[in-house]
Amino acid sequence: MAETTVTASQSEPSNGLVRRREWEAREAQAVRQAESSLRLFWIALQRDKLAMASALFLTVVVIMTIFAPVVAPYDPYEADPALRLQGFGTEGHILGLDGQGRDILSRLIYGARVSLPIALAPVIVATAISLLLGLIAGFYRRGIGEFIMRVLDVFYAFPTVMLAIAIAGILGPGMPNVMLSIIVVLIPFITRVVYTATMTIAEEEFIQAARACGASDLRIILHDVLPNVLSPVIVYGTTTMGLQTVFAAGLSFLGLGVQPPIADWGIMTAEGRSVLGIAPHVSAVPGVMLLLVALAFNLLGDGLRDALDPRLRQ
Amino acid sequence: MGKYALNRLIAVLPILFGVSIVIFLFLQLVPGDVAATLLGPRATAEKVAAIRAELGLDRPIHEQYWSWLTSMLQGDMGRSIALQVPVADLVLPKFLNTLILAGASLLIAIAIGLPLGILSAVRQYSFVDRISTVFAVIGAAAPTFWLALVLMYIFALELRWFPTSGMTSIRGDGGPLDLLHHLVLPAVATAAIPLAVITRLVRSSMLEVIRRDYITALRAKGMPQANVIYKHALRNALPPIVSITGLQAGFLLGGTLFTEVIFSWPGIGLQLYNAILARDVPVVQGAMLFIAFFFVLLNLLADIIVAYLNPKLRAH
Repeated sequence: MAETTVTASQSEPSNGLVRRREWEAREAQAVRQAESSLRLFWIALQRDKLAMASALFLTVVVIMTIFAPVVAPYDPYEADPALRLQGFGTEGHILGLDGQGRDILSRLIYGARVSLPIALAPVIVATAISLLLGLIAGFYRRGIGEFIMRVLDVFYAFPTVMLAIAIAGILGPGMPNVMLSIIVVLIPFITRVVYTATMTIAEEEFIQAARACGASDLRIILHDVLPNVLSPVIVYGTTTMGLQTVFAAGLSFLGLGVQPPIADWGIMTAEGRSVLGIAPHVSAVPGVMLLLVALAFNLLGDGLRDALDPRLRQ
Repeated sequence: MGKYALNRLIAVLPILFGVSIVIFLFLQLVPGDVAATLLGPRATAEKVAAIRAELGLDRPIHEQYWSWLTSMLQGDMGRSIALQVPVADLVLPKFLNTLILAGASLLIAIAIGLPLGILSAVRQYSFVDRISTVFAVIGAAAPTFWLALVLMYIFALELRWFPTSGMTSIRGDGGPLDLLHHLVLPAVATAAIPLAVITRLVRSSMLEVIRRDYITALRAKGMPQANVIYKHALRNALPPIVSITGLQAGFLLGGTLFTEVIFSWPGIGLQLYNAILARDVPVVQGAMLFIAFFFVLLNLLADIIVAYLNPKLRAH
């Protein structure tokens, strides 16, 4: 009797210990796997020199934007009429001066404070809304899902640029209206990305397993579907950030976005238009900047896509 | 085939219905008192009341939509507030001008993009492939409005090869050569993005087909390279190319807005732009309706061509 009690009392903690060790080992392995998949992603991304260069370039631009008052050599609104339209390499003004004698480099740096958030914030907001819509539509494909996708189909009937211009134009000029128009035209595209990914994931066995374990729909969507849907969304969002930066600048270029004298790359390009024949650098500089930013986002998006795809990674 | 086309056509109808709702709602986007905002600050009270009655703004919104839709379906697109002429008279001729510009751009994009993409795929990683990839990557990122300015500066202001604006010269005869002369710069500027997209797509689509076994088999049989590529590989690479080209044709319409404004090309983009600046909402609605209908039909056409090219799709 005494023996059995001893063995029982000995074996119980040791059994519990074994189980706990097993559990800990599994946890550790899961953490290692998560770590290693993140590390694999990082290694793959590092190998992509264009993507890394793009990421570096964008980081530098963002830092310059944040510290604009420190980095910019002049006040972006301060004009020196004597030096109007002076070109590249003018003393103290590397990128020259514009039609009012304002330093183009300073305006370029300050301009990023408008040109980047006006495009990037709507992409983030539209992505959040699209994640919600796309997850619901992809998970509950009949009924509400069908309804969401049919409504969004309507927006595919418009050329994106024209729809956004019409919306922003009717609402009137200004930063919030530009952002609103970009959000509206982006939602159908990002939602479709989320929807397609959700649909594929929802049919996987591990979702059935989770359901069999009694997990609620909300838990399955947040814990099992969402993490698997994120990578295509991140890729799409990154690529479209470049396009939207160009587009938001285009709206300001047309006079439908941010209004002068605010420093913005689109407005700077527009201001150079009237002096194109005598001082092409005025519109060339912001144009090249837009091109570089769009290029960097595109290349970074391509790099992320390749690095996040396990098939391409190996 | 006919059944597939009919099914697609029927599927388009609810979308067009949705389009009409979205365009109708444009009027509701106008901030503040719609009638007063549309007419501007100098409008008299009688004029505001007249516009309110003309647009039916004093009636419930579903009634407004219904009367708007029925008159649209009867071909009455309303009157321009700023110019006091029927919207249809304003929009239709401008739309034809845009078709000339967009058609020329698409032609440039296909005429260069298709052979360049094929060449890039056939000689993967060659000099031609690398150069065309670099140009495609840059072209896809270049802002259309900036590219238009660059072209204008180099070829119109510096070299003086082409005119800076308009569709025909005032002193010219307005003949096809004059038109062509004016068309080159805006068409090239608009073509840049679709050209880049089509080149990359043709390349990737061809690469995928060239790697298949049946192509290796044809080569092993000793079939000449040109035959393998143009008769056998291209045919299977074509469906995605056609559907993307259809989409690009629609995006071209968006791109033309910038080039039309910069080169003063009297198209629907410039018309839309001027109407937006003047808050002439009936013209904005008419122009958008035209564009959306055209875009939907274009994609329908692309879908049907894709189905025709791909027997596997035809069966469904």
